[in-house]
Amino acid sequence: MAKNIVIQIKGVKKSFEMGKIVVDVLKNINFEIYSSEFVILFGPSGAGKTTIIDLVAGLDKPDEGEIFVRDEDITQLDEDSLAHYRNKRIGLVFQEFNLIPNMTALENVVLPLVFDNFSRRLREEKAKKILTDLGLNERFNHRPFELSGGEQQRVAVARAMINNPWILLVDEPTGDLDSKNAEDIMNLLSKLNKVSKRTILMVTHNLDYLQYADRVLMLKDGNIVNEIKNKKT
Amino acid sequence: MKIIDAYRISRANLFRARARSFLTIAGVAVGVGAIILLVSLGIGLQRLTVNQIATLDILTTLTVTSPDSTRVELNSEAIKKVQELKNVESTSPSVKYPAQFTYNGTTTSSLIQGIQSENLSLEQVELETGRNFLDGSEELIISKSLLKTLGEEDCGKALDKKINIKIFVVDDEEADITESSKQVEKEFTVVGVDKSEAIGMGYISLDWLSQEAEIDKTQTLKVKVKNRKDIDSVRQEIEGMGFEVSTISDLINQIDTVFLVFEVILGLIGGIGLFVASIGIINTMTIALLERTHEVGVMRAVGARKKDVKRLFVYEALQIAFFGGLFGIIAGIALGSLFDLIINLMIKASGGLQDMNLFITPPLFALGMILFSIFIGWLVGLYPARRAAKLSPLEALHIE
Repeated sequence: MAKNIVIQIKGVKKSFEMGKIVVDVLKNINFEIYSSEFVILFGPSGAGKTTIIDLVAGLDKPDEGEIFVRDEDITQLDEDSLAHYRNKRIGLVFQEFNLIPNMTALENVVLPLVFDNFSRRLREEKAKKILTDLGLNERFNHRPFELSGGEQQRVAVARAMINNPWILLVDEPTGDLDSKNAEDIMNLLSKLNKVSKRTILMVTHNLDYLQYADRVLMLKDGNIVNEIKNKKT
Repeated sequence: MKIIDAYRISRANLFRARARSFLTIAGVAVGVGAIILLVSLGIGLQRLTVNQIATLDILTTLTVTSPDSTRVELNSEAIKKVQELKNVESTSPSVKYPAQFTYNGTTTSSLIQGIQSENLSLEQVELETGRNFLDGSEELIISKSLLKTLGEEDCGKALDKKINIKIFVVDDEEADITESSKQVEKEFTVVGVDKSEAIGMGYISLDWLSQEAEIDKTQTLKVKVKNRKDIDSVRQEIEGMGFEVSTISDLINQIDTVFLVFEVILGLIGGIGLFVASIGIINTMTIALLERTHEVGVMRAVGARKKDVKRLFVYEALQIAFFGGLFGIIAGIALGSLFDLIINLMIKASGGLQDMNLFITPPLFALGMILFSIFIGWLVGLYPARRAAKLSPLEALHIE
């Protein structure tokens, strides 16, 4: 069965001003990601991996080019539409977990549903289920500082998954974790991809994780320099 | 985002920096409390003043005088005409002259008023003890204040005692008293004591005085109308006859205006505190924004719209203002009551009898102050809230 294109990036360029110097972070990026694919953006620091995630997340706009997500050019969306897009269509997982410190695990996970006007009962029901699925059933009322790094990242994954998004955008999810927790998170992402059929675009510079991907896009100096397809695809 | 959720999150944020929030709320409370206390004092003084001069009877009473007693006389014929006017219930002619009162060897100067006994209430005479004098008799009602001046502290003891009164029959009560003035001197029996501690006055029968002093005209005519709404029409008719008419309403209106200005000034003085507290809210919210910039980024990343972020910050400012306003009102009223208590204890200690409320806070004013406080919170909360909403989600995420 032919797979649908979920993300399509066409001729994307992005530069940043660093004082008086203009740095071309993305020079001419073109790629597609298909439904239920697990794609890893791999490359050294400064290659432009995170910038691609930010652009696909609608947190930033390219200087040139188009970014289609399910046939909609998100570069043309206004602020409110982008907020709706981030809330409903994608889930974001960051390296630093980015949990809100005064909120419990449960409150952090329900946050996207709060902005989506879910009732308290329904959103807590959903959050408890997903936290239980991720093995955090005894951590509902713990605040981030009371959780281990691995647990915090699982809470962050739960938050990204709560609104049942099409796409998970994952930026160096294991950067702040020890090897055991890092492996757990990678297995969790792999499971979400295989079992829940989530499309995943992940950034890493760790070679060990490339095995999890269906495809690896190698980035260097703002260009995609290579594309590796794993045998399993 | 639902309002209830915005409220819950902003409330949780408010309690994160407890000490800072408490101090900001305390600042607002001081500002609101100062306004409540000072304006309540103004209202209390206003009520006290108005209550001293106005009773229900007096609010339906016109005071008629002659602008020129040689040309337009307030004589029995004129009084009869006024009495016959539609909506006039009763009339009360009276005269007032300077007089010397002598009691137990003590002599003092004051005023004597000749009036018909049935109209004493229009002069706000309220008996502490005794009875009304009989018209045509040589009986006297004396105010408590005058009695004290004459050295008699016990009202009951004064009853049935004789007071010698020398009345100087002059054209008006402020005229110079000379030995050549027409004088009437008589011993009067005290039959009643008026409660008033403010006015030194004696009241005797107008009929007796008119006969003894051979007076055929009155200085002042009090006209009681049937209903308060009839005041203006009756006033116009009497003015049409060439007389001058004043009402207590005129005075009350003037007093109200003076006190309104006074209360506004007091409110503005108290408002300085609220102004400073408002700057405190802006400061607190700006610090909160700086501390939570990263969280704003996280919220935007998971789907918060600009207006959701703005709402969270505005609601936090509103809660500071609401709690500040509430505590300020409670503190203002409590402090006012405490001052009243102390003042009344001091009055009692110095022999006064009447309790007084110097601080009066009408419920609507208190409610208005809460709403005003919330409005101020909203106004000053907008600036940091807009700044928060304008943050780029990506830049906010990168700020730790």
